[in-house]
Amino acid sequence: MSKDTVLVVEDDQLLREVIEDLLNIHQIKVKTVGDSSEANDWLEEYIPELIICDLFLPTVSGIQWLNSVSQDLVANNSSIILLSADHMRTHDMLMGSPIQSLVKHQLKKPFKNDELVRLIRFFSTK
Amino acid sequence: MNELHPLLTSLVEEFLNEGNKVRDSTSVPLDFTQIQLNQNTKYLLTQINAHLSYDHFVSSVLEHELRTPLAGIVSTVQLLQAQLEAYETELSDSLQKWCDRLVKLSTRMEFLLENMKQLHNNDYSTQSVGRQTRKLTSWLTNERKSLGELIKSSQILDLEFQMLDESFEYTTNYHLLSIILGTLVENASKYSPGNARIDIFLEHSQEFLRIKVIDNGVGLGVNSSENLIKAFQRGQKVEHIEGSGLGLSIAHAAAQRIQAQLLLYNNENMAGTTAELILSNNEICQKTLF
Repeated sequence: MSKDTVLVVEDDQLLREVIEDLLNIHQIKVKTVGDSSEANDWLEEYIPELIICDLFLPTVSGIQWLNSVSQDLVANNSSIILLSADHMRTHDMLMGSPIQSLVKHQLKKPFKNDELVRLIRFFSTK
Repeated sequence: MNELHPLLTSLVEEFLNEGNKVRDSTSVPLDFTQIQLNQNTKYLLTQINAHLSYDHFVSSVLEHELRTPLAGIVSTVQLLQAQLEAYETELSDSLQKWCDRLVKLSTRMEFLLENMKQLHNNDYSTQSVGRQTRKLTSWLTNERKSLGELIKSSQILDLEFQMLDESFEYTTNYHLLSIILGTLVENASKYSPGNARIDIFLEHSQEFLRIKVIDNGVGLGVNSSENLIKAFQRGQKVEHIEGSGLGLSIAHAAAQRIQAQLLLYNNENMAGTTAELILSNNEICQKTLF
């Protein structure tokens, strides 16, 4: 696993598979996980340049999980794309959080495949 | 919750206007406790308001829950379309037609979902954030009557307050808290025997308030609480019990909106399940919840 592997944290298995298929087609290295504890296991091995994270995970919110690992993410200057339908609410939840500056984009579900790929290419080659 | 749904607000305003009392439409949401109406009418308004509010909230949870599967469908359709376009040989007319149809249908569903979201944004958003400070024990004692209507007549609902005195005040959105408790009690009743006892415990320690709904029903089986909370997931051994599997997802969504955490676990020394709602009025503690 290398730093340019995009980490996708999404609790819905089918959507994870779709994103994995999409990124594989575009030759983007990807690791998908279903919850925060699985994501933590992967963060012990490598800190990715880019994380795509669903706002609502099963036990903790995406923002709460990202905050809990913010030290490593800030040190690595990782970028975050949040999958969220409610920009206003996400904005409120992000206010004053340690990962606020790392969140580069909020992508609304459902999204255009081209847009996701464009964002990944843009933020993983910053 | 005292603020009225916009439809009811219009209705009450009609009444008021008939009495030549014109209300400024730009003012704060109408509080029905301030209106001069007889007790029966007020009770009726409360009941209708509760139903409308619940339906509204459920519809907003559904709108949110639909986004993930729709995202999967839309992305898969786009992948399919791209793959078909990449074929050098010309596609059969039928295949092309079906693919175009899928694209149109998924676009239409996206459009409908956006309209649904718009409806929720425009329609009475002030109520969904309405926080109030109330004496918690008296609120819950009042709620007990409506919670009692959610269980089977042969079951017993018991309330117990630990380390809480009657003057203890708590600030939250009581409408959403009512939805959570109602869902948890209804679930506990549904998955417990006819003569079961359902206990609601309130504990206050340090910065946290814990509300537990404990039943002695079928338990969670091997299902984790995360799976049960996902929309339309149902527990094991419950095929014979009617239900959509949406209930806990609604309670979870409501818990998120009041910065609370909802946990479900099997009871340690007896059959059944505990649903635990952890709340805090402390902002720092809230960040450790939701």
